[in-house]
Amino acid sequence: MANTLRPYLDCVRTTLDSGLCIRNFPSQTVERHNKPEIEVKGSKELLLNPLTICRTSGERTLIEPSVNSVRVSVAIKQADEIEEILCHKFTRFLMQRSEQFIIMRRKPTEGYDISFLITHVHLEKMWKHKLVDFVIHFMEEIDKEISGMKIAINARARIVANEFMKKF
Amino acid sequence: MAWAAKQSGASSAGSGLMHLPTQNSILLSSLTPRLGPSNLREPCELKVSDFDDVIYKLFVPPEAPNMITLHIGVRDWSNLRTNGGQASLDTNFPSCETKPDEGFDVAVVINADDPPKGPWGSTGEACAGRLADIKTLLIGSPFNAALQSLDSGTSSSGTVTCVDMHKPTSRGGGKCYIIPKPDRVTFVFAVDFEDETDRALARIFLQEFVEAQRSVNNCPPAAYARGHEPPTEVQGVEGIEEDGIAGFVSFTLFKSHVGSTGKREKAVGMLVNFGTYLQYHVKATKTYMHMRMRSKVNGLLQVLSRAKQESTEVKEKKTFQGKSFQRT
Repeated sequence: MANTLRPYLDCVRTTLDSGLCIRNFPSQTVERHNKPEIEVKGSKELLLNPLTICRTSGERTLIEPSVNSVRVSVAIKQADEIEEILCHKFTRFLMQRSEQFIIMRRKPTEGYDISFLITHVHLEKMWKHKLVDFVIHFMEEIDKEISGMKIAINARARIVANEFMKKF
Repeated sequence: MAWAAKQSGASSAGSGLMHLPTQNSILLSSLTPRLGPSNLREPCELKVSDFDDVIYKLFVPPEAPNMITLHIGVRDWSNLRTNGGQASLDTNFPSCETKPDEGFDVAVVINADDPPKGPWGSTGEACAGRLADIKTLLIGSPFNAALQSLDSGTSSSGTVTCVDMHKPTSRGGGKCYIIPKPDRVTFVFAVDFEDETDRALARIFLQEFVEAQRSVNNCPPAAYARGHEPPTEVQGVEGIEEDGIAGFVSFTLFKSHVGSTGKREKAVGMLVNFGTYLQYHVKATKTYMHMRMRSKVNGLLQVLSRAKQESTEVKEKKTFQGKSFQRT
């Protein structure tokens, strides 16, 4: 992990740790329903203060806690056109598999690239500290992967062009 | 036998997956036994597609199994014919031309008992090799004509020839402009892709061609221009798109690049195949990206599964004797 990235991720980790303080909370309006309050936003007193953690204008995390669910949205840095495309491809690829990822949302929230929705059900089945670890690991890896792919594409393009020119 | 050398070079294992052979291997594998020493005399009717929207129909009638007819459908033939297509057909397959079938543009008929003698040699096998490479011959004819006149010193700053290489996207692209000058010939390729991702990848690839000329000796100078600012050579040419194709890449060939027939043929083959080569590698890059993403997803899933708590249900255990009991 780059040293400049560490404070950002540490901040996300602490915020998540305190935000993930949720409990079973059945719907107040519909009997026998249990909905993530952060999604339905049915009642104001059930929502906590959302928090945006920014590293740069392009790289930020939004953490929205509520009484029984927490929504984490991540905007991934996109420096140029190819990074934008890679990021879009990769997040789409991940979100198509959101069933396997359990806590991943099928669509990101407005203005972000990828979102997670952690409900009390997830926390009952999983270790909280390891879930936080996963989110942090994910944010680390996605950055690394996108820059890795970009380098690989450039290297590939160079070889392809060199081989073509050599043939003349 | 420059031709034979080229043929073996294209199919050698050394080239690996980097370069695509210019010959159509399906055509080659059905023509070689008929024209080569094995003298196969069997009727056949074969329809094959190739890159650059070229289609072939190989027809050998049962009543005359020595007469091999190859129909070729090629984009923009009327333009190619006047720009050296007819001439290269006449030199390579003299008096072989016949009437093409419906939907095809050119047809050649070859007598397997007496294969025509062309500049490539006189053996039937060489003839089969040349027939399988007829796409390069036809589409490459304007390239060949321009390079030939450069080599013989008769090149002059004439008109710009436009070759419609392959299916244009909705916004143009897929064309090559040939700009002859007394001492050089410039080939400007207008490159575009339908998909935004492909277009972005193509841009990276095209830029690398400019970088490559620094590290490769004696290669033709290359230049890259973005889609909305076509290079000066083709400015004012009709049909140059104003906005947003992926880009233009131009190769300038000097006399030293076309010094011999073998070199010239190789250059023509490379230029004709440029679009296909680029497309092939752009697609390969996308495949690679997907492979990477797949393995990354697996890695991330593993991390997530580590977070799951092990089930707290009481497991039934068995003693050595087979009695079962529950540990509390």
